[in-house]
Amino acid sequence: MKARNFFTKIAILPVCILFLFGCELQEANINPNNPTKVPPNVMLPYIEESIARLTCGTSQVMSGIFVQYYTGIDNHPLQVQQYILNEALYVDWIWNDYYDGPMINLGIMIKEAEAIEAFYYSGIGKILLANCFGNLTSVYGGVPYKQALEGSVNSNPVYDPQQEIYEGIQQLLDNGIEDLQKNYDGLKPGPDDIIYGGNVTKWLEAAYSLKARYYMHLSKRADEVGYNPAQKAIEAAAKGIKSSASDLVYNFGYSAAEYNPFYSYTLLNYIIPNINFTAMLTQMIDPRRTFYYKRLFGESNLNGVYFTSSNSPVFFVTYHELKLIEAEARLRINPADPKAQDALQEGVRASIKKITGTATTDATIDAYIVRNATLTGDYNSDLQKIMIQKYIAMFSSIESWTDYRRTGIPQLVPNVNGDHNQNPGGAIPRRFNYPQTERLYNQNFPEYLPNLQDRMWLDK
Amino acid sequence: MKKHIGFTFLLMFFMATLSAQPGLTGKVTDSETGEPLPAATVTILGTTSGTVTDIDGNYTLPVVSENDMLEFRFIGYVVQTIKVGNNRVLNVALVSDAKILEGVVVTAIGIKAEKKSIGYAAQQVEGDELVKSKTSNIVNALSSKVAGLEVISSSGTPGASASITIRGRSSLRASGNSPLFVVDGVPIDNSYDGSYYVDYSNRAIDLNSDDVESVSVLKGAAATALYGIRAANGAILVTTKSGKTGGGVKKNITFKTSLGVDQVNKLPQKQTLYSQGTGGNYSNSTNMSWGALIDTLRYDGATNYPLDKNGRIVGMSDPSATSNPANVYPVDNFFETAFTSNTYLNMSGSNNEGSYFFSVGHINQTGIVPTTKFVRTNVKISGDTKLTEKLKIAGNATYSNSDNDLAQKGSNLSAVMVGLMRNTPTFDITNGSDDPANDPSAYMLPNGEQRNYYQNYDNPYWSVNKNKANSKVDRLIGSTQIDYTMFKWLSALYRLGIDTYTEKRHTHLDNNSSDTPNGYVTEEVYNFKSVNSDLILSAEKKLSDKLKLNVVAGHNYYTRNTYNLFEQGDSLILPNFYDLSNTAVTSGDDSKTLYEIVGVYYDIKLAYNNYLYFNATGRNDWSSTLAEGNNSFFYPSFNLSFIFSDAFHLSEGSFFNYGKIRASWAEVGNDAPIYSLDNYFVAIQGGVSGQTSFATRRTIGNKNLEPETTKSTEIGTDLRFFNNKLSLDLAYYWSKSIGQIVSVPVAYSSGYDHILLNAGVITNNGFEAQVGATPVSTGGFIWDINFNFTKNKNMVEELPEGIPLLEFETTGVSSTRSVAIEGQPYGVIYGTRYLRNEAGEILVGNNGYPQVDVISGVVGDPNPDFMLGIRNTLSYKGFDFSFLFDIRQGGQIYNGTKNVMNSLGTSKVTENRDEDYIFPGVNVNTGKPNTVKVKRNQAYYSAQGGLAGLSEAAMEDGSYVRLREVSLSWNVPSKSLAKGPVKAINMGINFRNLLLWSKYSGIDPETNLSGVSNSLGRDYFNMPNTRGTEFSLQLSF
Repeated sequence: MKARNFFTKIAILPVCILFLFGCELQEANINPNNPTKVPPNVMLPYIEESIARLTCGTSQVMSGIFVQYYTGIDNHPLQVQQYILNEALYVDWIWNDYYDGPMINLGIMIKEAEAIEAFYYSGIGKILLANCFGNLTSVYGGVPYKQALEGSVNSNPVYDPQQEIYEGIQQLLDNGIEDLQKNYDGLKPGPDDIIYGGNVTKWLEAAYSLKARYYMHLSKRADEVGYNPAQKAIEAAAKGIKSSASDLVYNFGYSAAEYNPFYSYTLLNYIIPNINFTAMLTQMIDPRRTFYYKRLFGESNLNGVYFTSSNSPVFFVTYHELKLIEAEARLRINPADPKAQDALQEGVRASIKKITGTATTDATIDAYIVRNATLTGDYNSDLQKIMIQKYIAMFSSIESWTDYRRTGIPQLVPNVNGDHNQNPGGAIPRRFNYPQTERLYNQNFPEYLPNLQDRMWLDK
Repeated sequence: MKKHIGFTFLLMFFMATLSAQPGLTGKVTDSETGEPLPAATVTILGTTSGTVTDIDGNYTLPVVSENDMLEFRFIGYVVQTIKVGNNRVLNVALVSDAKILEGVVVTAIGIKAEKKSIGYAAQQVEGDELVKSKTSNIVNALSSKVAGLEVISSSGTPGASASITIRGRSSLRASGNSPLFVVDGVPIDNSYDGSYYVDYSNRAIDLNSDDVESVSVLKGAAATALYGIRAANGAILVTTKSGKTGGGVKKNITFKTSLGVDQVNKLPQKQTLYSQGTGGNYSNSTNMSWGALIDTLRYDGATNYPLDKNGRIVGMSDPSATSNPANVYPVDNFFETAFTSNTYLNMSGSNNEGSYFFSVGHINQTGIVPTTKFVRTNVKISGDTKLTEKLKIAGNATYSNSDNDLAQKGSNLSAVMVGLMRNTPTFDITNGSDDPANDPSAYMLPNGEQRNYYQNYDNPYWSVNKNKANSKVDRLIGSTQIDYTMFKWLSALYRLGIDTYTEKRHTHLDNNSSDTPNGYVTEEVYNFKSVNSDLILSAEKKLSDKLKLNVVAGHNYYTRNTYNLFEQGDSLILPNFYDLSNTAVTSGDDSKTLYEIVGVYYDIKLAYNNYLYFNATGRNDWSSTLAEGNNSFFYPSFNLSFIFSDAFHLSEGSFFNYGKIRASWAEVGNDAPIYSLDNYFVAIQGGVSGQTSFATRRTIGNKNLEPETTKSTEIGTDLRFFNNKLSLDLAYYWSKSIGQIVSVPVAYSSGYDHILLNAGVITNNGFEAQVGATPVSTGGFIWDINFNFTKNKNMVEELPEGIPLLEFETTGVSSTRSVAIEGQPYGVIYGTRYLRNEAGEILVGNNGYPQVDVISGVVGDPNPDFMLGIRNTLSYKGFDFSFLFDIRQGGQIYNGTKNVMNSLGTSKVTENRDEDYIFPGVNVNTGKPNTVKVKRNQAYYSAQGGLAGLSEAAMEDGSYVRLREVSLSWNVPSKSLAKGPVKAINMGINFRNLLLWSKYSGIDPETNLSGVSNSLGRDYFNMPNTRGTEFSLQLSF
């Protein structure tokens, strides 16, 4: 019958064109494949997964080369190893993938959730958005914040000073916490919240943990922010994650198709474990070392271990990070605070258990802690101890680069081939350059193009 | 002719009474056969006097004066007008209408027009000429045969895609520069949906060149304005062979068969001195070949080493070293000799009432890359008949079936050329096998893992056996047509055409492939259906003796439905079994599109005295892809043709025979891509952790889009000299595309990456010349030369405000991309550069090496300065010898292959790694010329930007001169066939790409990573091209 309809249609066409084609044509242009509006509960899964992808993605490869977790031996990492950052590669991807990936979708989801009064969604959205902005500003410095994510309304967003972005991040987290504390009857997250399954208490703890992290980022700028970042960090940490079981972690490997992207990246062997890092772990007899990397044909290899298997987790923020933040904060406020050592040791213990599971006995951990995580009361060597333990516990994370820039720990010897026009002086880079897309398409792009030794506000 | 006979006798009697008086006499004959034409009329122009010829073609005119103009007319022949002059005897050879048919071209909507009447450029290529190209893709067959046409074949693999553009690129859209393809009045799909890792063909490959009678190329907007929206880039009108109604009962059978061989024609050169390794030391765990000198290395003789039957490679002083020196293994012999067989049979018949035509063709091609192939079968049937004197019906249908096995290419770890060109000289990809393509021991270890020199790149033999792509197409193109003559002056035509195909694609990567170690399988079904309906009314009216009016009015409806179903299975469970059921997880998606367009049009032609022609057309289209209010648009065109040689009677002498000038102006346009008006959400394929999920599309939709327009003006002339032995056809055109619908990049910090806008101005100005000459035509020996010259200059005049650069939808090699920049030619290449001072000198660091600019810029222009095709044809007594030179001057190519080979130390030039070198340029600190001696070693090439490398260092001149076609054919003398059933025998030998001269250091410079797209001039492990030879035999019964 279909064919007959078709021929009828053809036959009456001459008549049709005079009267009907207008509306017929409009019908033809209704997209049957894609909706124009979707509820928050189908946006959240993608958002969580895409932040996980980005967290264990290119930014961690680059910062990991800078802080010498890895050595780049092939392809683009070979350039990064020499502190050459192509504006169209890597830095471009990170920036672009954050903004047009999870961040715009967070913006849309938050608005939609507020409109339908699904406050848990807007709360979770704000917490994750704060995490995204934190990940971006800590590597790029000033980025568009207030005017960002407005689509065609403003396609040339102004760059905000980093200080205001950090204020904004804290504000977003406070607003998220506020939303999560509301009572309402509407749409609530469940299995679509892949990380916490809709557990609001855990989200609240995660929000406070992120607050602590982003306060601590500003340890160098206590003079300017009008508060003591360490003090604020301790206050936030008190309401933060209570145990490793509540870590904000995305688990890949739901199916064989959803493998951890760092697994497939490390398969390429573009990066290998840095020899200084492996030497440090060997020297400390660190139980995590066989979980961080392995030996393959006599060479160190990153693939197929704790962070690099197809079903590996990605840490957004964890209990052990929080404890190590607390340790540093307490030490900064009062080098004699006994709780600093408690926090350090708890952080180390939590990290080892998290990474190695039952493979390490409590006795081994205790011995390790006695050797490597016992404070002496000397501020400088204690800070060194805490930050080295954090450096090991935070293996792969971009947080270690921020920590390095804040504290100078661990002491690193830069690549001798890294002295060139993009990285004058050849020291360990202090920032990423801005991406090509922004230079080309944002009319409010900053006039001064920073080199890799130009320090951003938090690093000054 | 019978009915004229009585009349003729009457006239003869009348003439006889007059012939006694002295005057002018002569004979009227057929120009070709020399036979007399009885009863032809001879009139003295401007008077009523005249005569007709007798049965022997003779005539006599009693009284004529020197200044009288005589007009000779005979039915079925071209009218000739000749001045009497001093002649007492004037013999005239009339040219038959059949000859004039050569002067008829198919124009838009299938309207046939005398070539002299059209005011724009249209060039015809005969089917015979296409067949000489010996290529399965009709697009390739047009290469260098038409002025203004640019064809770029993406490679020489079977079924490779080829892009075609007419008069330069003007659209910023990826698929926006392809001309419209029309087969016998039915628009057909020539879309391309390949990628940088598998080169699926453009769909015009479904046509069989053997079935083509002629191709008419409509170049400018004036030529195509009647097609409205769909022919903004020109049109290729294909007329297929058919039986010819009329002329009594005829039957014809043609059988053709050919066998061809192809070989790779050009490869990058590899070094043969240094081993795998880094820093001058041998190592087997690196992708680099910066190792030790191979002649210092020996095998240890181990028999259990899976990577080499000779054992491990060790230094000559190693205790385990044998006296057996390490080998150097070439990879060139990876490429096989490819075979093509092509068989074609057609049968046709006709009488005065109708005709039929049937053909079947089969082409079977293997590739130079093992396991690749292209097989196509075409069946065509067509017929027409007169039901009454006024009603004629016709129909035709072509079915084609193709099966294409493809290999992985380009920017892809499984790509064949990646595996070959990166392979270290000390690793044998064949493992000593005589038949490595079919011997798993070459590419697979006993444990099932891959045997390759480095884990990241697939052994090419692995790749061609384990990582495959296949495309199968079933396609039907057909139409039915009714012609009805209502009145002598008014006729109607209705044509309903359909083009429908289903393409099935399968790809898989097996377990242990570098790119996806767990393997995958994809299955895709793409269904395409377009229906085109044309109702055309034509009226013809003689307004006066000299003024003739033709009016055509038409209605057109076109609809296109597509449906795509994609299913992917990840993680193969069993190796060697590539089925969705054998995968751990499957996910899929489908996509439907519907497009409709309605148009009405007119075409008005005024002819004055057969030498002045004026033509105006107009079309209004309503498209489904634009919002109401913006979806209706009108396209006008005007053209003028003036045969000044006829108007001013300039063509009497033998020096100047014909002169025409023409001018045209037109506006054509384009609508928006489908579903461009809104912001959409896109489902995440396969969901996320078992949850359905959506994310916003990254492109911002725009309800206010308007149609884009291209305005173009063209002037041209057509001149013939020396008894038509020299002809010139020159054209100059200006075209300007404005308000293009472009996906304009936005700062990602806005949350999106593109917005659809009407923006940008691109101009194309160009000059085309076709020159035909017959330098020798004597004693049965004819030498013809044809030149097709194309020079097009395009310029991006304007981009949207605040957009300094528009990036094309480029795939692969993100460091080096094709872009549009204001004030630059279309599609310049943008990438990383040397750091330079204001004087443009390269700045060299204290270490003696050139420095790299942190900001990318324009590094090259892929557009050629000019293209020239030169065909020579020599005929003598049944022998035809022709050769076609194809010259392309200018146009740069990014040789990414070279950059990577340099950085890995496998290219020939890296044999100079130990030589001292002083880089040209000035010291970055002192500004004085650099004097530091350095080595171009591993560190240098890796600092030059790692693998893909410094874009600027890879830019090379893509100019070439090639002997594209050589063909020799012989028609067996008909005398020797007189008795048998065979009417004619033709034997031939054709060569393709016989010779190539080019400075380009990589593969054949006619190549493109991005296939049919707006991105040109990038070579990144592209498949090489081929050189071929074909023997053919044709029999006619």
